[in-house]
Amino acid sequence: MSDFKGFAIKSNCTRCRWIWWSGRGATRAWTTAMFTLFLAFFAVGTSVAWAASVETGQTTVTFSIAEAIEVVSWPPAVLSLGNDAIPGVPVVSTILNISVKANAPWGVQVTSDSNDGTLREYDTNAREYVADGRRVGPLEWATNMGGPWTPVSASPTAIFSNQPPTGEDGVTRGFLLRVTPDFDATALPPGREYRIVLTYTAGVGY
Amino acid sequence: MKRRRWFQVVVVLVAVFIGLTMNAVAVSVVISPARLEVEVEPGGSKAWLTLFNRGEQPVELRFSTGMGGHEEDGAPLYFDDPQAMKQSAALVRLGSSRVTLGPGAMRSLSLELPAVPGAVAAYPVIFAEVHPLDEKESLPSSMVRSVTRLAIPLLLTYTSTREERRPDFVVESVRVFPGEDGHDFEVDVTVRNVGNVHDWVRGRVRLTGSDGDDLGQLLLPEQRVLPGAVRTFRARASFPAEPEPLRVVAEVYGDGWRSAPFPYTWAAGAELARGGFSDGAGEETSR
Repeated sequence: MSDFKGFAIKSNCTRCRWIWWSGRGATRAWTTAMFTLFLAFFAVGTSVAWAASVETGQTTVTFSIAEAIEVVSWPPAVLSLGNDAIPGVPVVSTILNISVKANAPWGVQVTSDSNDGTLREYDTNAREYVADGRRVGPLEWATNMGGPWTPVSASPTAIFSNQPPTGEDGVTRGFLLRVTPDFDATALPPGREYRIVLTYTAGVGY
Repeated sequence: MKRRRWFQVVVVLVAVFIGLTMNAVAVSVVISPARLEVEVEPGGSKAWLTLFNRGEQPVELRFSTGMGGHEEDGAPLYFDDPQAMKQSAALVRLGSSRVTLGPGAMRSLSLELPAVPGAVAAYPVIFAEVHPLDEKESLPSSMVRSVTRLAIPLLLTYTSTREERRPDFVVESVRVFPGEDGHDFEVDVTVRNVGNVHDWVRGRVRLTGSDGDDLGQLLLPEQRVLPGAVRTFRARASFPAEPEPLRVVAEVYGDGWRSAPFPYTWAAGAELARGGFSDGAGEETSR
């Protein structure tokens, strides 16, 4: 009962808790609560008014943007350059596009899984290149039909370099692939094909 | 015969154009930061890459590491040969080698950068191959297969060898390219980093005329040069009248260091005889 000493009307009453919550006791408690609330509002209001009168609120907002790059679209994962190529006649792909968004200078390089850029005989059942198999090529790339044509290789070669930041719209750059078969390249039996894997790497510069 | 050959070319080209039914892959993946520069603490450091699939189909990112560098024009070069992969494995460890991202999903990839005893600076690269989850593994007659990946170059320095960092740059050559009207010139300054750490390199080219009068100076754009690499800085000048000979003194500098000046004299007649440009390499300098 000690908790209610200050509020109880009759401190020796065993039912004083009930009395405090009802009747006259309740009225007094209500008054006390209102007064306390008033004091709280007054204190807060006064301090806010005082603060507003003596200083100006200031918020410093800092914001930094990390360098980011996004490849929006890129050449198809698999590409057939034709099934009945004629020796001596160049086979040229359509324009292959790569779309990039970057907020820093960027570039794209290409490498192949073939050291000299040739397409190698591949066993589609065994899923591996045929040892000492036949070859055709090399596969070459250019940014326009007029060239210059550059053979792909296992060494990285920049297709696009030092490209400026793209902005939100992004940038699309196109290139072509070309292979010119010769009479050393023979038709392959079923289950075999000439194959090369190209890896395009997009990134920002140093 | 010639007409027939051209006909064949046209037929093949048309066949190829029609036969190319594969559309470009449209999967949007953002990786940030696109380049990381970290000073590795003696006990190793951690870093994170944020991966965000902005596309509408799920993708799998396959991570690997290699080494990086740059060409003379600043174009980055990324190496993933066995030696580069082995070298990079000691420099950076990936929290995961594969991450699957649904449409709109964002995840972090943790990187552990161990302290490498004796290392002053290192330049590994993280590769992120992007594979749509519905990608077919095998397709007949697929002569050319493409793998697209993003490269995140890392520039690592090590706290424990901070005192051993030695930025040291030399001007290797100066070239002057005259413009068509004889009043415009382009000056190429080739700089080699012979130190053991990368740095931002700035520079200037002082120009004087034949009678020693000051023609002003050109400021070279600030660029980063990795150790062991060469980078060419280009500046353009325009004069009211053709200065002959044109004396050029190039120097580069950074925070706390400055290269030796590289003097070079360009004379129009001699340069025209050499195909329109001059090469300052091999000239005696004041060093």
